[in-house]
Amino acid sequence: MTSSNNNSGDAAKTGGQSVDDRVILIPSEQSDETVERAGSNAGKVTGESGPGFGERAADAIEGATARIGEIGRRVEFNLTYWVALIALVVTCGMGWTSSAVISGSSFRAFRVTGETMLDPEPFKMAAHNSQMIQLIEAISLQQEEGELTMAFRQAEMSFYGDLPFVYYISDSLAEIYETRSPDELFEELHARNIRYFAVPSYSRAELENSQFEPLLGNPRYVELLYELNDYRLFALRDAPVELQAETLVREDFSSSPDDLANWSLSIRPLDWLSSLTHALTNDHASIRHDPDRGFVEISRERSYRARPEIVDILQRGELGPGVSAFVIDQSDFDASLGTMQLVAEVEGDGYAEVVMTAYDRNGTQLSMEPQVLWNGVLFDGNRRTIHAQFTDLSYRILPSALGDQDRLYRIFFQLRDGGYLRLYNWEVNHFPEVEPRSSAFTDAYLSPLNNGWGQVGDDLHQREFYFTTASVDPDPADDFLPVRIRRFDSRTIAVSSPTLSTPAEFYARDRLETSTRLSSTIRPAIEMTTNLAGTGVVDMTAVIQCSSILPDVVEEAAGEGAAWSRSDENTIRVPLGTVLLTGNSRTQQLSFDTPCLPQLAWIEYATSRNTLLVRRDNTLSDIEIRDLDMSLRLLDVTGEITNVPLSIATRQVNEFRRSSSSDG
Amino acid sequence: METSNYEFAAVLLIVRSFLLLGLFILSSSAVHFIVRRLLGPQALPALAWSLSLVLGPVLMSWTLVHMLYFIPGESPALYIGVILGTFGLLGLLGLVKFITVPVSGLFQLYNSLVATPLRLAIMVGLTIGVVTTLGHLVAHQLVIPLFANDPLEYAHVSRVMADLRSVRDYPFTDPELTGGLQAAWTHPLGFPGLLILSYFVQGSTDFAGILRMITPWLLFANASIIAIVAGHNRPVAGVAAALLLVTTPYVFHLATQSHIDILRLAAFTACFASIWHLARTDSLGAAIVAALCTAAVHFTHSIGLITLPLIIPLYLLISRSSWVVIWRNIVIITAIAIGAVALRIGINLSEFGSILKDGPVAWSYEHLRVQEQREVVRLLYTTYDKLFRGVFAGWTRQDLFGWSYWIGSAALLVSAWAFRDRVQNPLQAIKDRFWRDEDPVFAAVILSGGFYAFVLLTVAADSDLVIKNARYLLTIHPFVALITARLLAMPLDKGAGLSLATPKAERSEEDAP
Repeated sequence: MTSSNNNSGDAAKTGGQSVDDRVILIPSEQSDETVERAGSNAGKVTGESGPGFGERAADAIEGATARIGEIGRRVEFNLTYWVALIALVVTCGMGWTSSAVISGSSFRAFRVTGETMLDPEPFKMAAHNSQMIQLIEAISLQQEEGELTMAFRQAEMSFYGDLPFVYYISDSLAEIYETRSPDELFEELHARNIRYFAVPSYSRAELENSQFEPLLGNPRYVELLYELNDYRLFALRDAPVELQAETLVREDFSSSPDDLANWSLSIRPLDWLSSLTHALTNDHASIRHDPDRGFVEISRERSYRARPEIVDILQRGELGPGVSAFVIDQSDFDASLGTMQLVAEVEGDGYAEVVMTAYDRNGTQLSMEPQVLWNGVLFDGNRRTIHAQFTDLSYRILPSALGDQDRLYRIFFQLRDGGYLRLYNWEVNHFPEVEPRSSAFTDAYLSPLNNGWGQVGDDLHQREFYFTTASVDPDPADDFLPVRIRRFDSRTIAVSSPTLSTPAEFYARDRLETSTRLSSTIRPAIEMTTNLAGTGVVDMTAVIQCSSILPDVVEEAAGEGAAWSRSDENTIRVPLGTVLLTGNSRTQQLSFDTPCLPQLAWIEYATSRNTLLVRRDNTLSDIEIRDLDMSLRLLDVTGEITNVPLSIATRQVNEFRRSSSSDG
Repeated sequence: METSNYEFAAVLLIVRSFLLLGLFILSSSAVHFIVRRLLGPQALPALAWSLSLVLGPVLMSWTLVHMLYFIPGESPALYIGVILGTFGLLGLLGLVKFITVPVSGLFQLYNSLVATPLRLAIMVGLTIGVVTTLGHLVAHQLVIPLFANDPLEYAHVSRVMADLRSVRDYPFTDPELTGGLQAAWTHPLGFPGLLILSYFVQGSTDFAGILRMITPWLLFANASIIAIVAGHNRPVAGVAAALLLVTTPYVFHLATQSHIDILRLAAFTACFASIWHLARTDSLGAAIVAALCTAAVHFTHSIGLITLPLIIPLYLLISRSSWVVIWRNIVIITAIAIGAVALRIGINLSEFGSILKDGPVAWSYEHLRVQEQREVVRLLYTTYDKLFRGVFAGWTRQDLFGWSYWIGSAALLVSAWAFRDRVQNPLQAIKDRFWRDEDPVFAAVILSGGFYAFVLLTVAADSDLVIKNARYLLTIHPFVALITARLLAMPLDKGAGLSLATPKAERSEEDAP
């Protein structure tokens, strides 16, 4: 480009030239603005005395034109230029954003915080709540010397696991796919000492089209040990067993000509992308009942858009409160015991899924995601029976939160994208008698919660820690249930003990006597004894609920040793210090003053983060809380000391629910 | 109870991550010495530099793998010592001597842009985009553990070999050795070699740790090559191509996974760049460099064997030399590229009876319907699906490929208008065009076209080999980014006359069609 120190005349000339020579698209706003600015300058100039207005204005306009010309020459103002620039910026910007989203979602999935950023990899994997990692943990509690697990996904099993396993399509195992019956396969697996099956949620042809499907779908052969986000762990039985089944639902479409009324069709997009085209494509699906051939069928034309995977749902009943057209009503049976089994005779073409959703009596869905019972590919003209074994996962996820609600279940038969699905008959059986091979997976996690234990904090991931009944119960006579907490995540996790209460008769006695006693009491105190064992660091906090509202002066009255804090108008929290356990058992005896007469009390045990102590097996803590006793000590003005033992007061609603449903 | 202070250990790991990067820098620097010499005086200095970023680590991996085969079972210190002895001295010398190449190149480039402020602003913006993307990739790799399927399998296989200090048991036909992992693979050990090296530097195979830093380096190398090839005479196009490549969702995602495909892409891009350069000079040295790059592709993945059928036609199409020289170069490339993986080919032939192995035995059972089911699950069932969700996934899967394909093909159509009067002989037109200003976009178009022809052939043969996984289509993604960026940036680069590759090149005023 030419030099930039032109005089104004030259500049005007070149500016003019450039307008003529090049097809220039001068943004009109810019030129207006420039002229305006030049004009305002000129306006200012008029106020002063000097050369004539016209002369100055002409100079200013000339100068502005020169500047535009200059910019015009430096920057190639033309249409292609701007189109290309905008396209480039938009394309790169979208790419940049998506890569930021990708790494951001990783950080979120692993729930990385400043605190956990430098944790060892296994801790982070635990925080990630990876299903395979949790299956590995579950297997490690089960698998014995000489036994093998068959992994249907080998990556995590090999890299993060340390257990002998076989991969399901190992060439050495090829012949087990030639078996023609589940009994035959059962024998083959036993002969190889393959006892456990870690099965991920996604469809596997080798599993669905072989004898594995009827084998794993039948509690006769295998026991469903553990289930998480549709990843399942099965254990092969020692021998096939005979089991009592109660049929919860059974439908045969040849015998019920009007049954279509109970079924309906609904369509939803699979993801946000397909939701864009959803409105355009949802009229290609249909549902029909053929009583002569005995099936109900959903079908949908294959869609040829980029990602329009639409899920068609064959469902029973309508969504919404007050509607009781659910397939399975849990008041008929106890879903928290035993396993359920789905057996259905289907035919079709395409990728199909059978899913289940649990609801409460108001029609509120209890879990975010439907539970996938079966998924696989159906091939045209191949009528087959599908089997699936499952338990109600909503019991595992939020046992206490759901309380004494009976669950209602709906089963959905889905078809993804195009094809058809014919349902000839189907049934769901319940096997209440299935003897759990180990209590570690069925009841142990619930047992503490059913016996008054609770989880503190609401950001708890389902399986950051094991919460099971302890191996040792030093005093089976009392109501206290000892627990064991194993934690793999490096975050602080806290559980709350069952609530203890001052005996009712203590209050119920003569009111006058009580109030006299209270007024004559100085310094009520609590004495507690707790027995802890294992490895890790435990922070203890006592939570006391007072019988009356605390006066504001209480905080000032806090004693030297007992620095409590108020968390509520009648609740105080008393930190009890930290206990370090290094594989030993320890009995802590503590006593602390309270500002009031306690009515209810419990202890929160937090397994806290300790960066200096990491066990080789990457368990951050493995703690048993074996015993807890509390008593209230009252010192009268007369010098008389009274000890009132506190007892476990309440049971969780879960326990109540279970007893009431068994009564009914 | 064994205890450790793991936060201290984590800081130590971060330090070791940079030790691994240091090894990459040393090896690249050493290789740069040789590549620079081989490419000769006509070479673009920056091209030699960027090719070395890929060739260095791969050559290091090759050396380590062959040591672990011929002298197995020694201490890791010995292997690292030999590698340091081989690459260290030359690398240091190269660092001292040529550290100025990238620095002065960048300085000259940005200095020359001062005269055009808007272009400078665009360049700075794009550069910031590349730097921030690679930056949060590195942060991600330092913090997030290894989680994806294939990388975990590779990491475990490499861990077993690092523990044995031998690669003689690979392929692992006996799962006993790997604790159950099925790894009867025919892949050469290019990527596992790098993983083993990082385990050795780390001093422990208990966790993935510093091997997470391999993909950021390779993505950076890949972006550099593309930037320098696309940026030949057109600086904006170069940086834009690099940005489009690193921010492609699937590419970035694979990099966060520490996936082998990032190495495969980088090697293939280097191979393309070396062939493009070879066609400019046809010198013996350039042929050897091209051969080394092709060998690098062969050494990284079984599918690398399709490289020769792709690049030899490309070379024949764009070269101007006499047939004698062309065939001499092709023989050199073929011989070195095959020779580099001769050991692996021999092992595969004796182990499996073929160079490439089919899937597991169970997949051959008809009643399991493995391939059919995979096609249904992956929405590749009908011919239409195979074409539009498989072959043309670049246009239909924006969640994976971004918008480069759409923008790039639109720009390509617009540019094709410029050739409307040359329809009688388009090939000759392309060739003329190519030689007028050595435009890499034509070579990239030819290569991409060849690749798509190959993909269509496999689909026509009713095989889902290439389309079953969108990763395989990424092979040509760097060139798609190149084409898109090059065409988009054409008006922006007009009259630039500057280059990342040839700072003193003549300015060309008439490069727009």
